[in-house]
Amino acid sequence: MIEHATNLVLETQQLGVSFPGCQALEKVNLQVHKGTVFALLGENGAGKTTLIRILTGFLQPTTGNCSVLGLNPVRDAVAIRRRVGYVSDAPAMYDWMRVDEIGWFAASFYSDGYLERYREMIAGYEVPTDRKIRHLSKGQRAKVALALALAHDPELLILDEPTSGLDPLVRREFLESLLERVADGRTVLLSSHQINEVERVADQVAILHQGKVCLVDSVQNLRESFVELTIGLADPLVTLPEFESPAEVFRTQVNGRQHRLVVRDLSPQQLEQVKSWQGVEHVASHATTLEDVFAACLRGRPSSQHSARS
Amino acid sequence: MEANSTMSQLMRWRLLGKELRQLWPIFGAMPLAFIGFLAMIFAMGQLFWGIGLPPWQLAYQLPGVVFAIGAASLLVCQEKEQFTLRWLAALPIPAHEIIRAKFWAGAIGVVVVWLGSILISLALHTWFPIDHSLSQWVLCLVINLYILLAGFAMGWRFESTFAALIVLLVVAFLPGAVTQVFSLLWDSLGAGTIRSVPFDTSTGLVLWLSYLAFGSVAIYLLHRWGRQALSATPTYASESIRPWLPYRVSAQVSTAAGLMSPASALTWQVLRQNRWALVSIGLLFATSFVQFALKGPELSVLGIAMLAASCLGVSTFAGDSHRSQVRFLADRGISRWQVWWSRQLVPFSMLSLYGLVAVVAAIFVYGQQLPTISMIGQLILIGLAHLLLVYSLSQWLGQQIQGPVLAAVLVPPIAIGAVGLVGYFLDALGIHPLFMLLIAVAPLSGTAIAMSAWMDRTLGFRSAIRQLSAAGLLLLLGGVVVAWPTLLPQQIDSQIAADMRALSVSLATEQAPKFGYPDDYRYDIIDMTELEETFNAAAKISPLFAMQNLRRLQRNLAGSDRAIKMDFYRLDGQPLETFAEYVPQHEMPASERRALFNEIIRTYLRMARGLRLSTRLVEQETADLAEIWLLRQVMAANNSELFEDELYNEVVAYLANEEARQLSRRQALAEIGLRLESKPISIWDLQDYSFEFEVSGIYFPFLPDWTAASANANRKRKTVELLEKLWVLSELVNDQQHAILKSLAENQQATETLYGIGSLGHYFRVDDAAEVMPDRRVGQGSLGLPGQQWRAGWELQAKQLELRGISPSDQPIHDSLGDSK
Repeated sequence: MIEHATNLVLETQQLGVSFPGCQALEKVNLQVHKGTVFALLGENGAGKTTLIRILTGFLQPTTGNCSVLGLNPVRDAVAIRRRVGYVSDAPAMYDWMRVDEIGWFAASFYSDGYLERYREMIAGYEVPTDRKIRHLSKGQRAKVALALALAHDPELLILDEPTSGLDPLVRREFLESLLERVADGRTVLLSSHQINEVERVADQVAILHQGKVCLVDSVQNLRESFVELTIGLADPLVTLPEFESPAEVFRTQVNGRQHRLVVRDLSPQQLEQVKSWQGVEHVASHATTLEDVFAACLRGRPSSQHSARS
Repeated sequence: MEANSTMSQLMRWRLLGKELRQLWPIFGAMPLAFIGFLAMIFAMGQLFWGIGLPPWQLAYQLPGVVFAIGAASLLVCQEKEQFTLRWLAALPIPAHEIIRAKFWAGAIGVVVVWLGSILISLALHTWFPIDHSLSQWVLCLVINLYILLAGFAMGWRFESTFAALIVLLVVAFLPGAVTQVFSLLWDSLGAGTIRSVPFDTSTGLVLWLSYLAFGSVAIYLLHRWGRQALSATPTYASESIRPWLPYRVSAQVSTAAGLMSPASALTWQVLRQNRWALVSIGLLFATSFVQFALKGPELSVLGIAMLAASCLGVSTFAGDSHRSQVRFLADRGISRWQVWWSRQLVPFSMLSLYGLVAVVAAIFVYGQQLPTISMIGQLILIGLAHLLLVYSLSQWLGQQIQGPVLAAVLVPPIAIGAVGLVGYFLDALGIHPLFMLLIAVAPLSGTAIAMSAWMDRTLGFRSAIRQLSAAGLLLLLGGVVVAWPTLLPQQIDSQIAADMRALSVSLATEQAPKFGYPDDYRYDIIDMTELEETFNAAAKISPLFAMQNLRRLQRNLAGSDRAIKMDFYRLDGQPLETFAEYVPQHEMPASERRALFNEIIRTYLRMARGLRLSTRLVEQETADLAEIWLLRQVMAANNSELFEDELYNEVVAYLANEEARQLSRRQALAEIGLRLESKPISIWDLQDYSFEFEVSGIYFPFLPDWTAASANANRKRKTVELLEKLWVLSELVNDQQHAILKSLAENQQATETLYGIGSLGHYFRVDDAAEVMPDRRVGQGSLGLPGQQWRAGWELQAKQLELRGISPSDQPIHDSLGDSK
């Protein structure tokens, strides 16, 4: 079981954003506790970046409310940004500045120690310090952006696709550093497509689909509560009965006489029951990965339900 | 094969269509640019008054230039900066097709704008006429196409838009410069006088050939550099090829140095980043230097100063807007106010320094010509107010138009034109031009309010509403507090008005001689000047002729209903009374000479008495001069034998009566006050402004370059101010009056008071009647100030005169010529 701090660092209640012709976010309820890594997963256009922009005060919600570090992002956006380390999906930097210059410039706005920590990270990332930002590769820019965001040791890190463009070694080091920060009591909210990385570092995951939260739970629970069932049928025309609560089918794939289901909270009794269904020849259950869960959430269900399990 | 050909055609058309589509923003902005230029020419046109029509053709033709520059910037420079050119180059499109498509899109756009300009010029010909000349319009098209070609060439060559535009500004003038050099050489060789282009065959031909030659070079370079740009990604090495740039980024900052404060860091960042600002500042100071060198205001140089101020404004936020770099600061929660102030610090400092330099330059150059330092200061302030408004408006527009390239091209004409219009409307409403300083605060406040949205790159409708509301509120408050009082008809100070009402004028009005309105007073002056100038000669030629002139004078006084304005002093400064010296004894028997003298004395005494009864202030002033003249006759030693005793005592008693004199003056002032109160003067009354505005002889002349509303309002205001000062002046004794008199003298040029009592100079006071010499300033052409002689030293002298042996009696004035009133 993951031990969670009692303090809430970030909370949203019925948060929604609508644009003309589009409901970008709808009734999003999230809670991020101190000292955890919270990951936002979702397909492209799910609303992850929109949610992050609301939390950092770049966008105003249409409905609902949220708080970050006890502050209201609508009123206290600047104060929030000072206290968090934010790396957007396309970090803006002054192209004409050199790598060391931009750190030196940014250090003016933070307390002592920023520049040293920045230089340390840049050295660790092996980015040439005398090169202008515009002449860096995509990955190098990402490293600089990370270093700039982390150098002031913020209590909350908000990272939008932070490892995009990073080479595998640096990714590994970065993720390990995240864990160290969390161990020191820092909190991380990250949005990513790299599910295997999320699986490694995240304590809690929220899966967004079409602006709604499909699922919010700890990674551990997700692993334990989801199972993939492979049901072989004697007759492809056989219709399987509905699973009774609390079991929840997230995805169903039919391939001839074989049904593959991703099911949550399937009890052993229910599993035995499935084996005794008429027309069922064999049933196999496998553990699922987070990726399976993710795919099931996004493709398997027309509507979303979520459960919050700790 | 056919399919390939069809594909090629399709590709070309689609490419062309895409390039034309990219030009929509600048097409859409052309009407604004046209209006901006129109407003600019309209406002500047006031300065051309009297020397011909304002150059409306510039308003029609300059938008084409703006379009050409903008098209090259958008189609090449902006694509480079947004990296869309790389994507285009990665497509299977031959480089020459891309280059051609961009060129043709730009050329089509230039032609469309050119045709539009012609049509608009025809449509608006009634209001903004120009000489429609085919050669002018064709030349205009050629120039625009040349600028387009040069712009493309520079855009392909240079990495940054900044560098491309800087070089383009130089290259664009090359053909004209070559032509000018040719023209100068042609003249120096004695081949003819300087001729205007393009009508002259030689210089015109050179101009056309220059454009052809440079245009051909531009086409060649355009293709060459375009291919180079599309075939290879620019490398780091190309950055080092910049020795010819007018400004180089300073040497790399050592980050080993200590940390800066946030404000210092932001200022450092602005200075390092904003090269446009530094070039604009340099241009601003260069214009000041040129003005200093030219020793006079030059419209084109002032225009460049305005352009520099506009570029300074646009560049304030342009660097940060470029690729939304300002998000770096927004993401880190940097204070909006700190960011705003750091952007304003350098431009404001430079504008202030510019003002200081302008003051110093103006004092050196104009110090001798302008009457007071305060006037110099006021002129400088008004100029700075214009520059500040151009700067702040450009800044606001540059912030709203988030594309730096489009902003750099479009904002200057719009901002400068708008400022011109603002100046015109302030003038029309009679509001002091310094009110522009308050107006300049409105756009600045708008930029400050928009900082959050701008930094977050979320500028939109809501933000615009907030800005406009704040600016509107500011202007409303400022207008109510500052400008509204100037629009209200000015009333006389209540205490002074009450004192005037208490002083009854009815008795004086009944008894005053009927001197009519001095509309033709100049004729009288001319007559009297003739009399004056010819009197000496006439007296030498024939005393009878002098007598005849005097009779004519008396007839005028007796029978005419015109007020007499007499030059008591000749233009050379010699007083008229020396006529006695010009009637030498050997040319006239002593008895006749004595009789003539006494007749003239009686005439002047009668005139003075009559004038004292008038409630017209100008006649009170005339009476002062008549009495001073009489005093001189009494005091002149060589006149003592000429004076009849009775007449002498009569004159002395009259001159000693200071109380009656003072009462007459104040009655005249009260009359003016009552007439002003009852005279409806509205700033909206447009009928009177073209004529002289007169109140009791105080004339405010026709002001051709003022609008009706402001002229009326200002005249009323000035009359009230003058009246209040004169009322106070009349209450003071001699030693206390100098400050007010000096103030009246200093204000005379500004108030343009025309006071018809002769060319005496604007600060001339008789403290000793024996040594009267007018303070004449050559070339000023100013006429006498009111109140100069009130309770001056001469009145004290008059009281100290002693009567002769017999007692004076208040007898009716005898007129030896038999004429009587």
